[in-house]
Amino acid sequence: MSGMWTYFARRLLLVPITFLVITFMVYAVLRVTPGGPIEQLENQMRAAAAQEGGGGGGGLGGTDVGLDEKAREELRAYYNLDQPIPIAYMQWLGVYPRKDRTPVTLKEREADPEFWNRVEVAWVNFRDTEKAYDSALLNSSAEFRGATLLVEANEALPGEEDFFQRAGELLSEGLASRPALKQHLESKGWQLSGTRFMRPVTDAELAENPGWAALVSLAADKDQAFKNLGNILAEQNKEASRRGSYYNVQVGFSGILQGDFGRSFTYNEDALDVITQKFPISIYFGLIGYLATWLICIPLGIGKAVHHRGLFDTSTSVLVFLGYATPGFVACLLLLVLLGGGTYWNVVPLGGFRSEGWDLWWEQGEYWRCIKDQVHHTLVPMFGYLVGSFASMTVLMKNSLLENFGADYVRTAFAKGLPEGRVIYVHALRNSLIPITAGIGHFLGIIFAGSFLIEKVCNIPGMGLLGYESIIRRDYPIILATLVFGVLIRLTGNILSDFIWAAIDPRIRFK
Amino acid sequence: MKFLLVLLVLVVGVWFTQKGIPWIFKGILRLAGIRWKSSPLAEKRIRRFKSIRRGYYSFVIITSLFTTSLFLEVLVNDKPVMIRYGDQVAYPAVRDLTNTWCFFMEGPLTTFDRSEDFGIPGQGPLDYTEFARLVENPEAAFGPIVEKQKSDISELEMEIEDVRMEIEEYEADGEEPEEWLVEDLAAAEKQVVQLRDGLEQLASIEKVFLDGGAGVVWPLYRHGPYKNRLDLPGTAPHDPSLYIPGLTPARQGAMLGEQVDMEYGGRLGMRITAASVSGDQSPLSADTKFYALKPTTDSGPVEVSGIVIVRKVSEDGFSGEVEILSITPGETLTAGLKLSTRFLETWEAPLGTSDAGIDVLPLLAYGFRVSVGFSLMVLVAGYIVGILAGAIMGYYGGWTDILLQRFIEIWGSVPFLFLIMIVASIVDPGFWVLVIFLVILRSWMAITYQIRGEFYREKARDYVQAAIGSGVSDMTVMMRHILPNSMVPVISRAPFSFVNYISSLVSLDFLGFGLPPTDPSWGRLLNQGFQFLTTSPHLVFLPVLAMATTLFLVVLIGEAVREAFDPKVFSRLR
Repeated sequence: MSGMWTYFARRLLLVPITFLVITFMVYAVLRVTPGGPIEQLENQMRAAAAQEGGGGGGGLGGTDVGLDEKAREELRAYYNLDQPIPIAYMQWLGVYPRKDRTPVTLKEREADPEFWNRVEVAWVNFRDTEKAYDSALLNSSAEFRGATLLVEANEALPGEEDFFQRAGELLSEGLASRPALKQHLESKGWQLSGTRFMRPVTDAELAENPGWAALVSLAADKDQAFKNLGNILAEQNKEASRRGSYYNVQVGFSGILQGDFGRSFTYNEDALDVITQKFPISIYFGLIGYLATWLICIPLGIGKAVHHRGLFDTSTSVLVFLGYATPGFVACLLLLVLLGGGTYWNVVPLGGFRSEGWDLWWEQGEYWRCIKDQVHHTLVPMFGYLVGSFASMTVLMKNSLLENFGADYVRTAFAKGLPEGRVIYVHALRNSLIPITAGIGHFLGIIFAGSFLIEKVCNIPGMGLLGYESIIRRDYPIILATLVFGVLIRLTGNILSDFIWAAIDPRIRFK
Repeated sequence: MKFLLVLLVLVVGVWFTQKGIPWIFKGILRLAGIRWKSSPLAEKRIRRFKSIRRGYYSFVIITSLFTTSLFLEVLVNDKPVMIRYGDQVAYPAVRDLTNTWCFFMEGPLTTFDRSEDFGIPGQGPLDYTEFARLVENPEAAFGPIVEKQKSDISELEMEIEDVRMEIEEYEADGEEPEEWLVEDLAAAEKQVVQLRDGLEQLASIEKVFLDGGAGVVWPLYRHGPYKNRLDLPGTAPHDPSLYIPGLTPARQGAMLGEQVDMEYGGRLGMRITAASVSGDQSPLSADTKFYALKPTTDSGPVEVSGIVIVRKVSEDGFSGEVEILSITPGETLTAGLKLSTRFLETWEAPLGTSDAGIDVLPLLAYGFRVSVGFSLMVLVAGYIVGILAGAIMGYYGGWTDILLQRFIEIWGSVPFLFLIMIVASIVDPGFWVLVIFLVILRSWMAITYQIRGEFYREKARDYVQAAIGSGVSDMTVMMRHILPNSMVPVISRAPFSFVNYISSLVSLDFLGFGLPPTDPSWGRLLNQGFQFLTTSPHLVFLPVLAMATTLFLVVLIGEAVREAFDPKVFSRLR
């Protein structure tokens, strides 16, 4: 027995490792792939602008309605995208301190006027230097990228004629080759600004051209001023954004270990709350589907085993094969077409968890109507879950019973002269139910996560649909939260299955 | 005729798959110097498999259909197999076929036929349907054009005559003719010459067509899986035009009665007098849409002149009032016009069209090829990787085994649909990317543990120990000695894995994370059916039917294979 305990202890110890690997993989994939929340936001803005522009004559096609650099910086900090992936992952996990920013209230500012006066002076200083910098930049044709000054490139530098010529060709090819042009320019650190080429200024040029040198020093002044502001604020654990808002900064651990799954981008609610709302719906359908599967597959499997190779067995085999050949969601689709009230019969609604007025009816005491409505909405998904595991469950039941029929104890029971019914339904059946009972653990995962295909087809607002939609909308906190629960439940479910098996079947020994 | 052709193709497909391919295979093996010998045990198993009829026949059907589907481009396509004009010959469909199989090559194969080379002026690609029309009936096609040219010429000549007379009048008066008259004359004469040249050219082209110098050979089915069926009346998705009981809405016919003055929101109402035109005597029902059909003179498609909707039905149901929903400009709806709910001719689009107006029949056929090909790829690649991993685990054991086991345990817990969805929502994965994804993320693990177990067991056997003892390399022991003896679980599991991969592809396509949107696939068709759930049931039924039939046959094969290779003898109850 002790061997088995160490076996399960080892399995349990492996769970955290597996969990970490999976979550890190998904986290990294999410961060690396383009199309994150900021880009989604920008796309929305562009779509809105295009609509407005379309109304006003549609001449705005060329202007790029993006976020400016400052806003993007702030958003990156807000979504925690400014940290490198491993650190951001540990922060999400809750093992690395995270900065928590809350805006400074007016009351706080009034409470410590002396400090805030100093801050104000530093802010004004920063703003002035920034203004000077901005106007100088506006008057020049230069641009900054980071700390590098880019100037307009009217002609090729010696040794770069081919590069310059190729860029010119790409530019003249029109908008279609813009990405290629950008790539071409960036290979040497150049940049495209409108239709102008910008190249990094050389040190020699900087020394010759006092205007550019002044620009560089103004930029340095500006950054220094902001740093000064930051230094003052840091005395009281505060920070400023470049737009002039101040934040209290609290450094602490807040990740999934502390129960903080972050705020959903789309629902603007705590991710954990969103999930707990959807959770019961998935459990309801999963459990009902599982019960239906048991109620149908176990008697059918028994019948098939008892009449092995008989007429009943052969004829129901067709059903089993068909069930294997049809995925659950396809069965739901078929049922919806047939019974959804389109072309054929109108028996079931086209989806959803309940009708809209359900809560009202319940309050008014129309319980019968409520139950009828609920049953109507449950039929199709239940059928889907049933078809999904029908074939494997029936075959499992049949084979396990057949195996037991061949066992010695069954033979002995017959030899003793026990009636056939008693041997089959008491002796053999009890033992052959073991593998099916052990499957409960595996099924936990399905019950929890819901088959998102079935939930999508039947429009059930459960966990599966939530996960699916969060992927489409790039709702990182929700994606990760569903992943965390899904993986944890699946992993423990597998172990639970083996444990149940070992517990009820003394012949099984894990080592 | 067409039926016979289809039958012929199927027979050739079966023959080629069952006899031809094994023969070619053996020939290649012989050329490569490998002697094909099958062990008595394997032969016994194959005999046992063949004796299970339903499995064997399913195997013949599926494999034959698949090899036939490899040549789909010349069987079901919107381009002709061959076109001929004078001494110009082109094989557009064959070119498609080579393009599909030599997808890695570009250049000479991706040219198109210029219409100029085939008797139709212009540099653009040739319109094959137009060309076919000319071939089929050159007189009817050329006649009107020639007539028009001729009348143009005679008109111009008359005009020239007039101008000449006028000029002569001037000259008779001893005056100089006005300048613009002379210019007109010159221009008109030039034009006449041009027109005459054109007429000559036209005549020579017509002669080629009339003498049978032009020809076109169409595939069995004339529509492809990429092109919108713009030739069909009405809007996509079209219902099947072939009568499929329960699926095609019953053809309800009616005759348009006389016009009565009745206003429906400013539109004129009409009275339908009889509802029994085309056989079925069913009464009218309100809100049925009817298409007013006007038979065209030649055997071409029936023309739709307008859509009407039934508003009021009399008590007996055999007459009613209709409102005109839309009408082709310039048309009038006259009494005696045929009205029908289903207006496609039977062979126009036998299985209807998708929501993009693409014919469903080619979609299903090409979808079959894609699905089966995809699953085969995933199966073979996954099994190769899985067998390798399992062999290494079972053969070497120890730390290699433990580490790989842990790796599989972790890797197996990655929710792979989830990952594919995340990546696919950013880039459109192609066929090969999806195959690689599925192999790396999931399919190789299906077989690994079983192979590992087999290798563990076989390694302890004497023959393996003898081989190791005689100094054969590890690789040879694994591949030559152990592997052939552990193939049973691989083969008997394969059909069931195959079913799973087809289901995975259909699910991914259904969600929109699968093959690129232009590729024909069952899952995408299902998704369209999901969107048109209440109106176009054929978009659900047909792909489900195709998928369920295919998978059912594969499951039958799987059962037979399992029984032939891995017979479990259950002791009888008493």
